[in-house]
Amino acid sequence: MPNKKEKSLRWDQKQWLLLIILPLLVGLIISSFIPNPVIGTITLVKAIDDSETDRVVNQIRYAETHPEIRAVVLILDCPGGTINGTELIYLELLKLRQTKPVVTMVQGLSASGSFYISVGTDYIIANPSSMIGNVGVVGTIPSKPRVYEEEYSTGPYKLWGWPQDTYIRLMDVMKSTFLQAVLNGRGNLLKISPERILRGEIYSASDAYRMGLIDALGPLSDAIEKAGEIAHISHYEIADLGEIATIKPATATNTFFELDEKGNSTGKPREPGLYYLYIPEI
Amino acid sequence: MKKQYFLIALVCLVIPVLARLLWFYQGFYLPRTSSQAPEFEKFLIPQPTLSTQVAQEFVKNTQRRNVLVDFSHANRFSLSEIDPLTNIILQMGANIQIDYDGKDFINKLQDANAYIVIAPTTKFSKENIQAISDFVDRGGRLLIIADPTRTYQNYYFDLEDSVLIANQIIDPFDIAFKTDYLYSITHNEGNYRNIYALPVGENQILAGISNIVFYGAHPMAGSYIPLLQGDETTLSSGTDQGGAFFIAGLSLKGNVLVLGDMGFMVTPYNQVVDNYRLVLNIANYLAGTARTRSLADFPNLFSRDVNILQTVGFSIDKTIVAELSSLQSFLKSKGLNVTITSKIEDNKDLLVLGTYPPSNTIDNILGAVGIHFKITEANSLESAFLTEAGTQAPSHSKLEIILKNDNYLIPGIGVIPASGFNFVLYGQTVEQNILVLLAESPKNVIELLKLFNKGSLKDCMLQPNVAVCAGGISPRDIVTPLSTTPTPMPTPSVTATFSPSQTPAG
Repeated sequence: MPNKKEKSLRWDQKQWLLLIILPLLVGLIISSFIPNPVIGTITLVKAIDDSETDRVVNQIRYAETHPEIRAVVLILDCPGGTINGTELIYLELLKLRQTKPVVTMVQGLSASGSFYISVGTDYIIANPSSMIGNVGVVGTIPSKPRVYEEEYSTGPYKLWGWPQDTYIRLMDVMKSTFLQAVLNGRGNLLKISPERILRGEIYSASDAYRMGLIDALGPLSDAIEKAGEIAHISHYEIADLGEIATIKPATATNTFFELDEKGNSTGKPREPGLYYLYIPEI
Repeated sequence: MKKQYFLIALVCLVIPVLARLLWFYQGFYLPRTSSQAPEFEKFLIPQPTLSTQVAQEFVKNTQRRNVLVDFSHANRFSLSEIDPLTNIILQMGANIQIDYDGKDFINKLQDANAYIVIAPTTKFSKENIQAISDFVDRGGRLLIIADPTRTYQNYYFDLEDSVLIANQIIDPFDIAFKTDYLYSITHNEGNYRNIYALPVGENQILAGISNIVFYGAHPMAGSYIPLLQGDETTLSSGTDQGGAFFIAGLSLKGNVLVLGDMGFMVTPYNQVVDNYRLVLNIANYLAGTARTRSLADFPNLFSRDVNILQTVGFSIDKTIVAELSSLQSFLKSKGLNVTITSKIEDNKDLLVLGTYPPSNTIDNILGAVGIHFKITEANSLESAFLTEAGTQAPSHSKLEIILKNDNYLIPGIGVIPASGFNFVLYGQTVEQNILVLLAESPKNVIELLKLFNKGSLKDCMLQPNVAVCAGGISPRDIVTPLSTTPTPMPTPSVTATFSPSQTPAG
């Protein structure tokens, strides 16, 4: 018969269950509520127009409201687009960065509005063959306000919005805000002057890296690793936010660019206006 | 003991949680930098400094001055855009004539005081380029503008770069536009291509100007008098480097004004800084004073109402009146009136009809413009020539037509018989243009008057102030050129030497 002392040292099954197994089980159950971290990717490979803006902003908001999304990688191959869309995406990304890091991966082109968006992120990586930059505004000037026999309005700028000259000067304001966004986003990393930036040049990724416009050259996996590093996460999953948020994919039909007689894109926007857009003149 | 059991349980509870946490999460994210959006509300639309316009009072100038504007070379501007310039010219009492079709170009140029060419995109013919060069040499003023925002290349329609075309016109004056444009990133007026320019030196065109803005400008090259230079922040699109870039300049003789931008004169940009003043000064340059004319401008020799002077010994009969009616129609089309009078009036141009050798009255009238008929008995024909252009001229320039025996010696033309010909003589004083038609006989005066119908002196031998025209046979057939080449006469600049209120003594 075991003595009292031996009895106290030997746990019976009940004790094992109560002290080890059950807490472990409970611990396991509780730990299962800890979400697997996810790095979400947002892809922007078309010109920024209203539908693209909605699509991207919805994904940003999804990332913001889902705690399992611990970081975002923004994949860009985009010539820019509308000023309104660019600013919306930029501001939403800045807000997202309050809680989660955003890393930009340039796969091809990050020009004008696309570059504007990228300077609002934590880190910018580009494929070595990518093209970066083109800071500035383009636009078509509206005609001068005049009166028509058959159209009436209650003020000289009701139909046009503003004097032609003011429209041109507005470009300068937008250029200045773009520049400020670049200066704010890149800060001391920039190695070129604001004057150089405002020339509107587009650079190869390696030149952009030397100038401090981007942070590194590398593939998408580097961007994802960097996002994980900044977010202090590992063993994460990678998910396309567009899919997991069940957001409709971008339509294949081009509604942004003007088409020539053969149906090919001219690279110029269909609607007149001001744009943060790269329009290579060929 | 119970405490121990509790701790064991707790540890077992926490271990899987911790393990999972550490497996996935190694720290907390802190925003790397304070992400800061631009302060959008602080960015203001840049506004230019507007000019302080001073009410202009133009001194009434009764002389007829015509400014011809080229609009026949697919010019890349609209007429309304140059309203700020043309309105001032009209307020000065001058006329604006638009050349829509290029027809009768040489005649139009003869009638013009100044010629404006802006952004042409079809070529000028060689003849027209020569005519423009001759026009400038005769004292006409040329304003030529090439603007980088107004060039065109479309080889399907034979339209070309306006810089190339403009350069063909100003090449004789050793000036050219460069094909690059100027810009400034750091100091501009609302856009990088709107540059500030500062005056260089002193010139009437720069009067009252301290600062100009050009809205897209070509720089110039060649030999010229610089007027306006881009400021120290101005760069060239060709090199992206700074330098001394001039956007406005005068030819060395001062008759050609070259501008690398048109935008500064267009509303509303003509209201910025001193742009309005520059437009005013340019208008004054083009139409402020009537240009010096010569017989090369025939029949456009008058700039005021014309008095046809009856002189003693020469009566105006019905045949002459018939020809004078054509002259009247011609001058009427220029806005000038014709009056037959026996009195010379101030501020009216003068047409004198007579025979040669001229009467004393006509001799006095000719003397006022430096033309003299001299009878000599000298053995050798000599004449006093006008001083050459470029040397210091005396107060009067002289043209002496010497009659010896039965021949006239006319400087620049030669020796002609004293019969069978008619003379056309022309000069200008400060107050008058004087045209004297001297025929061999009164009935031959009609031949001279018919020249106005023809509209040119192309059948005459011509110098700036004297033409010898056929009175039956061509002067070219029997004129004996001088053995020594006569010195060419510049257009004389004279002051009146007789009182216009004198009545002819006959």
